[in-house]
Amino acid sequence: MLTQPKPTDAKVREVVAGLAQARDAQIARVVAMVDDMPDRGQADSLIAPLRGRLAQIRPARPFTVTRLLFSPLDSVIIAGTRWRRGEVGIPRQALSALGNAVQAALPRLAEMLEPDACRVAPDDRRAIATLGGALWSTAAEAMQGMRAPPDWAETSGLKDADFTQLVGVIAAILAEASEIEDLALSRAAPGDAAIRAVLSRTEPRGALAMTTLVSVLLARLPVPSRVLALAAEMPSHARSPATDRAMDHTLASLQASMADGAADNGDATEAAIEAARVASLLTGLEETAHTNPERRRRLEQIRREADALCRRRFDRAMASATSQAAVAVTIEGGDEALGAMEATARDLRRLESAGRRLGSGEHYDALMQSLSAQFRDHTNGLGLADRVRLVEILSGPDEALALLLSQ
Amino acid sequence: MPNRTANQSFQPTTFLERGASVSFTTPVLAGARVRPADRFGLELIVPNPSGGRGEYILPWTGLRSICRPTVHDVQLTEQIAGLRGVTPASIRNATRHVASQGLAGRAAISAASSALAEEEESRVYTNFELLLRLVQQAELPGTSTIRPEDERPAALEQRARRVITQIAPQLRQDNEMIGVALEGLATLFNPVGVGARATRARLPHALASLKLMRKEMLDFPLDLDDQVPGLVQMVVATANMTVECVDVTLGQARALADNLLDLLGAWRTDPAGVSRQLTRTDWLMDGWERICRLWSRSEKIAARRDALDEIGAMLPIIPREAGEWVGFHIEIEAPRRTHRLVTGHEDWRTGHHVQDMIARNEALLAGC
Repeated sequence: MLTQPKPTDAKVREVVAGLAQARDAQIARVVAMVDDMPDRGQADSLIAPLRGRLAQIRPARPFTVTRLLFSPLDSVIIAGTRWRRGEVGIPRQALSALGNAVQAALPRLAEMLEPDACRVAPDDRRAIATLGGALWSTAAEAMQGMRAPPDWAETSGLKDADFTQLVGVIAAILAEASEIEDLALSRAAPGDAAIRAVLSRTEPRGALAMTTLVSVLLARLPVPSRVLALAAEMPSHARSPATDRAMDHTLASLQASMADGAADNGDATEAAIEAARVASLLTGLEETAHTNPERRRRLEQIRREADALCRRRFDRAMASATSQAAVAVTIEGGDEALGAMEATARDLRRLESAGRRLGSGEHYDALMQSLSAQFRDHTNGLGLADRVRLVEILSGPDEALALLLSQ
Repeated sequence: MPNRTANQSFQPTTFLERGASVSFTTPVLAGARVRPADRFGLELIVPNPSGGRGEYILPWTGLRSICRPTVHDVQLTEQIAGLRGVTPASIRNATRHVASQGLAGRAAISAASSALAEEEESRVYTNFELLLRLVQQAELPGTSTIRPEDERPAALEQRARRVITQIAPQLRQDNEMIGVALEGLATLFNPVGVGARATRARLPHALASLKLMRKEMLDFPLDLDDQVPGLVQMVVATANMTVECVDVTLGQARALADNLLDLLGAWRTDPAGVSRQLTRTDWLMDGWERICRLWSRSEKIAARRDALDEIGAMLPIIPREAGEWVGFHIEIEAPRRTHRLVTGHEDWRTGHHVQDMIARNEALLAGC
């Protein structure tokens, strides 16, 4: 476990304490200032305690060469408090120091990529893959034999030996990053041969690299059961089963995301995408967990938590839709209000689709029917076409057409 | 029961056989077209919904056999079923009519209303431009010391009336018939554009969008995945041929306005022939405006990559008839649609839901 580097200056400690009471806008400004710093150093520790709030506020943060460098490792970057030596995970607090070390080794490349990196949207995986293609393999080579910088322990709170191990694992993933992105972004589901090739190339880099790779592949590829089956066929599997540890990491990550999700930012669209991702991953993992009762129990537990979380998010979106429907009476003709109502209705459908894959189909049926009936049976100050559209989004075109023809 | 076997080699000879594009909002109907059936009624042509090669050709009433259409699309099919002829313009009018009912959202109502208002304003301008040309071409020398293009609108209208009276015996028509003919021609010239505002007309504007999309596609990273080069090549090749043909047909159409006396004569004896000639560009550009909107609203690389797949499936085939119009051989194969459109994998990755796709299609309809 990695302890947070403690802010030594009393004034810094005072700032940390003050930020805990700060408003969202103030926190967003502090994060922007820290992001602008050429060397974040202890400044990272200012915002580390705020990560829960940041997940809710979601301030726009610039994409940088460091974020580009580590983006293939997103799914294994964890809070320092969760990190254990020798287990899967890259502690977040070490990223700045690791990124600086790589950029110091590749100053011209980093300088060349910086302007393009700043223009990349953080959710544009294809743009990231295109730009990262120029960086990842070069960085992987540069990291071979790299030594810990003099300020490593001070800035990361880790030992020099940890640097060597982390760099070895990161280099192994970055060496395959372009291939993994290609597989993840491909139109077609990735084939066994391509996955096996990535695993085979990484196997000589050691057990931790292999386990980390399997964890990354589970998070990025839509075929988790094939990833696990192919990893189990690797020669090294008998002496060091990467699949077990990768599954444990994935399950821990899923449980952590459930906990984070309990305090999410209320964005139903993102919640639906996340629920769909979790449902796919759980289904894939369940296919391979039947021989391990403990793992099956954990998966069942996660599925229950994911299902409950999805229902809570759905109920919240439903409450919002119901209040919007009530308000509509007083805002007749308002395009913006109607647009918001339609967007909420779409969010509900997305959550419902994802939620059904996690369980609780009957929970959604009744609520969707009840909301749809509100628009079908009452005008709510809306025109017929507006009501038909809302019923169509919530209950489908047949019911909407029936409403249109009945008037 | 409609024929559900995909026609593997859909190679229409004429534009009418290819059909006019219909802006459905149901995702699976992307790229669908309507055409007159051989004997009676209409047919629906839909790119293979599985993303494989070929097209489904169904009776117009068979829409529900391949999908659950949106209410907007049900109303649109009924509106189109009542049309007397299938042309891009008639389908556009039907689409605006249904959009104005609000079933594709309020933005689509505004867009339909704005498009009608702009079209009417532009038609009035085109009519005025034709009157100006008529005066320039047919007014007797020495009638006025003021050049027609410098004349005030009301005075120019007076001069045009006198010219119409002067040419009526030659055309064997009365003044009113010539006035009606000029209004009919203005409607046909309106999307083509004549005079100083020609480049702002709908079709030249659409052509500029097509050229811009073609340029941006050539800059698109070809090494993104192994399907990109083939898709880009297919779209750019079809766009190149369309641009070449449209350059010719736009020129041919505008040249007709250089001799209005002959054109008015031709309009009297063969209005359908004149109409066919002036609407060639509309047929050639039919379907491209939606494609260009789809491309331009996709800004991120990922969105553009997805758009490329969709565009590949809805690419307008250029029938051999175009070669007769422009006087050169059309060397282009029917698009080879061999990629998948929607997969569970993509849904997993992007979280796209069918409702998002419908909302996106409504935004395309609204010109957003």
